[in-house]
Amino acid sequence: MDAGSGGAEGGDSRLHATDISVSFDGIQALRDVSIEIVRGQVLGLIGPNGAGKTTLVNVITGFQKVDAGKVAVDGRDITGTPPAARCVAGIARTFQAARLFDRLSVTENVELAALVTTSDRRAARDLAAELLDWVGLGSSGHLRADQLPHGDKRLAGVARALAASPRFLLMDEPAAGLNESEAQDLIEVIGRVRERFACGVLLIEHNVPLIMAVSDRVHVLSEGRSLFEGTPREVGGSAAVRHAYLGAGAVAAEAPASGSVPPAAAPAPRKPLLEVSALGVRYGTVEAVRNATIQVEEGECVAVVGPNGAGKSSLLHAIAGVVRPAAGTIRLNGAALARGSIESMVGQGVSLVPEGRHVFASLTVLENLQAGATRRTDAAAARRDVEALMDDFPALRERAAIPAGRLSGGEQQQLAIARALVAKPRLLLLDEPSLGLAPLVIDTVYDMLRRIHAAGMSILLVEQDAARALGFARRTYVLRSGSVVMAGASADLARDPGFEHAYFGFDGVEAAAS
Amino acid sequence: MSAVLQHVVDMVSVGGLYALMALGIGLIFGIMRLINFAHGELIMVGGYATWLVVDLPGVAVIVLTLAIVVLFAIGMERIAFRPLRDASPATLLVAAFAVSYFLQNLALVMFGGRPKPFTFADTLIEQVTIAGLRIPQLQVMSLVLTVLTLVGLAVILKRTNIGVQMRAAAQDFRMARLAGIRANRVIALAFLISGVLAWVVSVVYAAQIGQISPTMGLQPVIVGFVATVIGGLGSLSGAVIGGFLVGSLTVALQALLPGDLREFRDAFLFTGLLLVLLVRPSGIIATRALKERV
Repeated sequence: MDAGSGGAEGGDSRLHATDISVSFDGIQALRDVSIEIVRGQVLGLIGPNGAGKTTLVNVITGFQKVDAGKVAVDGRDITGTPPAARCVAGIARTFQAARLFDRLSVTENVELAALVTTSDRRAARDLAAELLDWVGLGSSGHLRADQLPHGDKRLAGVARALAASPRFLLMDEPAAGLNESEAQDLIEVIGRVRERFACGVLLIEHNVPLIMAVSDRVHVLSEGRSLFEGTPREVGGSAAVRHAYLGAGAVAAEAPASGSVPPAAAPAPRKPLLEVSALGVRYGTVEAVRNATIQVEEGECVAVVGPNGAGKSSLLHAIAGVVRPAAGTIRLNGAALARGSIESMVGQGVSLVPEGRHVFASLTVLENLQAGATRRTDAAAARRDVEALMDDFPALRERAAIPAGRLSGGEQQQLAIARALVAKPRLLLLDEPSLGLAPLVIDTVYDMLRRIHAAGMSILLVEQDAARALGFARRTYVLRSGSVVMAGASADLARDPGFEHAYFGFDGVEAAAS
Repeated sequence: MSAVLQHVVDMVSVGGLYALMALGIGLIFGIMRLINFAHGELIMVGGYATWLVVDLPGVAVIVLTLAIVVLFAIGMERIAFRPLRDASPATLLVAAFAVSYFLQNLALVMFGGRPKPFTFADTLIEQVTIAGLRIPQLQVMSLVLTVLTLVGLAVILKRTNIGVQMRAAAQDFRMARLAGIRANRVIALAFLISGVLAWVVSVVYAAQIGQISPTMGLQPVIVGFVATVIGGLGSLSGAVIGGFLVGSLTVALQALLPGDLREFRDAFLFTGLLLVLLVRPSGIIATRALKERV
């Protein structure tokens, strides 16, 4: 078959991306990153949210210009060439979503890609049939692409990418949103790609067990820099990698110490404020949250941690009324939350500080706070609360008349939190308050949260930085692939050797030892 | 000297009119991503409403016609656009065209296709002398009305709670709802304000061209839309700047072009605007929220 013939010309041909630096919007997205993709091997690329993984793929495929560094295939420099030239050089990519042509049949989708390399329609059709058979979709070729189940769409996407006979295949989160068994099928196919097609695979994935199972080598990015590269076993055993994912300090060592502030000393259980039971959230065919049961007591601070794509934001969105749950109930203070508009949730006492802050950039700081008071019926008291907040957090008062868009990231986060507080919520929901902030700035934000909590606010916090969350919240839930896989007092979880396993679904220490 | 001053007055009054148009369109777009091409028909409705009640006392004419235009504005939101709240921008655009054609044809059925004379401000053709300039009263009225409207809107948007809420909603609609801002209320209010803006334009514009017809809203809505795009879709201050830019450019070309080229003024105008967009594709004030991620 055509697609495999390339393998003979050199099993060890390579794609090099050397000393790549990229910056845009004032952010250094990549700094001196070098990777090497070898044909016939799978290179896993992992890293926390914002590490620069997708930027690196964009650099290799020619969609992102570099400030420094070069991209070369078999020693031939292709740094300045446009995306189409990269395609000819044998680089193909799959996207986070499969992006099939919905109205075409599955076979036609693959056939189209095959026509890039051959103009013979019959040969293209035969190749498509063979590839679909190979990924296990042999009997679905005649279906319209939008009729395929979610997992099969991804497999069809892989078949389509392979139809162009790539020498290097870049896969951006192929398993995002898949359930365990669908992800298993996908791993199995990716594992066979390198043997059958002799192409080099770069695999970006948040599903750590998947990437560990299928990769020959794993490269770890963190905040735009190369952190580590090695075999899956070496990466699993690396303290630096766990640190990058789980946050400041080795979890077990540091968390109890930083828990010395209020949360750990919080008084004994009070009555439940938020009761989420058997919650399910779906987007089309993707199941983001399954059967999640979570409780927050009055005045308690609870964290939900988990890797990217675990369903943490979806959980908060369901509680805040942004998405309608597919299953389960949400009760606040004993009564079911009336499902209505997003804004009616604020009226019922639930305020969400969304990921990415979302301050109203062209409004002044003061106006942002005023916008948060929309639901208040007591205008004078609301004004006093705004004043009190600015007293408590002087950074806000100093900048009261400045457009919020000109604040630094940390100040914007403080403003977003303060804006939510002006609505006088009974429960404050926080989505990744530390995202994209420097460690010192994160300290400031968490200081603010501590003070708010000490004043009696009930908080449900979603956080990728597990060490931070464990150090801050009284209790913690671990969410993975949409399910609660572990829950308990944060102090216990921090000491529990099973925590990492629950977080990653993969035990690094164990793998290193075996 | 006085000729130059005269042109400046013209620039301000035409620019102000265009700014009001652009604001009416920009306000709705900012909040619900709807390009409301039916905005022009609100101007037409204002024209015919005035024609119907023109024999009543002046104050009654003003109150009645204003109420009718605002009613149409709120009505089109309630009946045509609210059910499509979560639809794609393309669907909303088609709905806007549907409303626009429906109202045009309604006017055609009710009043016929022939233009009718607009006599409401007839008494204002006399000229007054201000600082050595002889200016038609009509232009003074337009200028005063336009400036008052702009200032009034600025005060509402800047100084009142509901104004802050509207600006917040125009900036980031979902976040505004997360902050508790009521979507229905803010959108209804935006249509109310766009109705008031359309009413002001209808009085000034109809008085200037001296007649009304079912399709009279088309020209202003196109100019207003262009001004919104030039200023930067989604930005209210951009809409005002765009309106004044397009208006002053029109007046300047009218004054500066040699006589035999004046006929092609709009060709020059739109060439100039094309150049603006080539340099600043997102308009003069680019709205970040509209940028899509790859």
